[in-house]
Amino acid sequence: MLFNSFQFWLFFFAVLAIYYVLPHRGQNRLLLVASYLFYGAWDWRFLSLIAFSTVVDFIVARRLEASGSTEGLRKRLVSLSVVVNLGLLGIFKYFGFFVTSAADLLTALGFNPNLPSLGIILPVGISFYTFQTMSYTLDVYRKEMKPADDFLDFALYVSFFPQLVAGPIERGQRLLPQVTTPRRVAWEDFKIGLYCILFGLFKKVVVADNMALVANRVFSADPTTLSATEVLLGVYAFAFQIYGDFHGYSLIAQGTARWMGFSLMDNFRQPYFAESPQDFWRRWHISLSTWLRDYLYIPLGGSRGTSKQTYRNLMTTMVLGGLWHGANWTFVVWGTVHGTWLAIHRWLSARFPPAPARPWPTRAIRMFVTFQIVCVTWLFFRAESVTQAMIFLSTLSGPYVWTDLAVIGFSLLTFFVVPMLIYEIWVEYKNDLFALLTVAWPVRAAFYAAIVFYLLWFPAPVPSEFIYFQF
Amino acid sequence: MKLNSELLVVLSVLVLIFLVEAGLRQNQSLLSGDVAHLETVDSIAAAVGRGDGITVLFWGNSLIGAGLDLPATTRALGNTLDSEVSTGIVRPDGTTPLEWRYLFRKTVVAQESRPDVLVLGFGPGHLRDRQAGVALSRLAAHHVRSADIPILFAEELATFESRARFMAARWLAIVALGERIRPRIMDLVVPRYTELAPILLRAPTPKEALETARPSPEYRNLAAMLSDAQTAGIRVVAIPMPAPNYWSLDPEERTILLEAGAEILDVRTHLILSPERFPDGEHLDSIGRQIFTAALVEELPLVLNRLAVR
Repeated sequence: MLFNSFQFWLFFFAVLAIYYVLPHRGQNRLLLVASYLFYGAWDWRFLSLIAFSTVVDFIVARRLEASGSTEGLRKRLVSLSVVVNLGLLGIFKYFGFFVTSAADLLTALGFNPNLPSLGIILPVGISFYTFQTMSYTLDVYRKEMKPADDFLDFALYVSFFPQLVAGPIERGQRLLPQVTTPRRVAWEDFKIGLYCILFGLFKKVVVADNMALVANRVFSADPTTLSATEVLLGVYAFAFQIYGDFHGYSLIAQGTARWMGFSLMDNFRQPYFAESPQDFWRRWHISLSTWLRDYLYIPLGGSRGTSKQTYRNLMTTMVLGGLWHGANWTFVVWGTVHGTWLAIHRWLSARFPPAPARPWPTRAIRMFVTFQIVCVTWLFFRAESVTQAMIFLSTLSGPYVWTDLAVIGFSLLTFFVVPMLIYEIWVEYKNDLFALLTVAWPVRAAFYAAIVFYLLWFPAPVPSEFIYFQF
Repeated sequence: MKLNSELLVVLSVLVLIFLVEAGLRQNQSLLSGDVAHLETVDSIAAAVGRGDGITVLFWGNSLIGAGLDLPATTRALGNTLDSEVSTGIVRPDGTTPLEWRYLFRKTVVAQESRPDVLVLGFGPGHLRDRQAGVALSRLAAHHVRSADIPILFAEELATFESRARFMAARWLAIVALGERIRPRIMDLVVPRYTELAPILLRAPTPKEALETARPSPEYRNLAAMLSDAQTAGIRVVAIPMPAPNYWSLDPEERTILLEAGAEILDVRTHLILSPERFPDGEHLDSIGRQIFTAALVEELPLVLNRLAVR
């Protein structure tokens, strides 16, 4: 049930109509049933996984609370939660990858391996809800929050359908209180929700899907037949495809949740205007980057130890962050490149501290350079294999010629991405993600009308699925 | 105050959508010559059906639209057959039996007076079935009458999503015309859009995939259309249209046509049409049209006589 489908909107408005007439407890039960229906629409067998994860973490958290200060027991309990959740991820997401990689290695060493293959389908969104529910037990373990009293409320926190399959990864401290206390839907929520839904649909249906046409054409071609211009434009197209796709999903999740009185976190803040890798990760997939920071980087020691330890912690965090996206060496390389870049930037910043206030040309140059490096990392992220990525990288050395594919790719990038970028420059300038909601209503009406006509007349001829559903 | 401002936003957008919808409904024929043609198919079919003498309806897509000189054909047929001849041509752009089948039922079979002969012009691969998704808006807006929607849903549109998209396009011109508006706007802002856009949709096929996975074509919609014609007592003559390179009929295609009682009239063997006669690589130019029409009117009367349509 995709957010850009009639089926989803029929489902959502049906749920919403019943939701508004129910009392708080009834609303929670309705949302739980709706969330399980939503998730089961992909494959009902996946429901057992999310239910299992929910039961384990609910019990673990209750036991953690009951165990008082018995540290040994508390550690065993939290380890159980981590092992169960990472075990689910390991079996369903990484088993095949590790088996194939081990088989490849053994073959290279001259053995004839016959390793088992489970042939398991990857459950949609498993990386998101396992991280969400794990953060809950870790927070209870750290005594940063109290465990949920009601199992069904906790089950709703884990499975809340707007953000279930592609985030944002919400912390228990933020979302659970919104589940357990009565919610009021004000006109302000309607206003914010409408903006999020319309802009989110625009980013997905218009920007991401049209950019997917260019990116898919380039990345599915024989890499030796492409010119440097085609590769460059293919990578740029993918950069805006993945941004439009993922930010679009997050916005729709925020908007639909808002119409039910929930406030989900902002997952993106104009990431392509970042001026450094640190800045990029403060703006891109914020719910994951903060999760990795709080539950991996800082527990590893963060930047508290020697420089060497800090670099090691950065690399470990980013490589695992890469692997979180998928079981493929391309994601490992993507994480490694980001880790290396962060480490180099940290080293340089320590020796050449940047000026606190920079003139705009300097900022623009820094944004441009950061965007180019981000695009290099996207090349690894999107490539079918590391070999393809390396061929593309060597192709980028030139020559740059304008072929027909390059002309149409450039034209579509200009037509679909430039209006969005102009709007985001304004949002960045205003330093307010919801700046549009503060302008005069006719301006907003014109903006929404433009979005509606873009949605009606410029969807891609071939729609694509949301990229992050596979993670 | 806040309530009013956001309601005003929503209302303004809805009013604008309503105005554009009304404007498109009133003026859609100005937007596209093809839409203008589709709006007249009913009257073309009715006029041919009610016509005097031998009534012949030419049917196809833009290939026959560009390749046939209808007035010249009508005159020549009248002279050769020594009888009054009434003709008409239905040639919606980019269509295949998927659309023809439903449009034929809606505009020809549903009429009280029907033509004696249907002359079906087609190009290489045009008679094959294709995914209904590619023509969904057009099917919804122009080709399918309400009574045939259950057939379309059962045979072509299995998912809720495709059915919902179909109904949206059926009710709203603003949705149905989207696929015609997009290329017009894109042509204005993107250089050579119409020419270059297919590059993006043409995914490169690995060699091995070409060798192993060539699905056998299906002709379900063609067979249904021929069956409707047979039931309605309309004789069918199938004419393969010329292309820059000579192309052969698929054996299955030929069998389906012949089994349904259709005559295949292939005049291409007598023609000398150089590639220059196809300036866009597909359609005949005016000289090509004259050459093709001359060849057709020489052979068609013989077929009409054989079918005893007099």
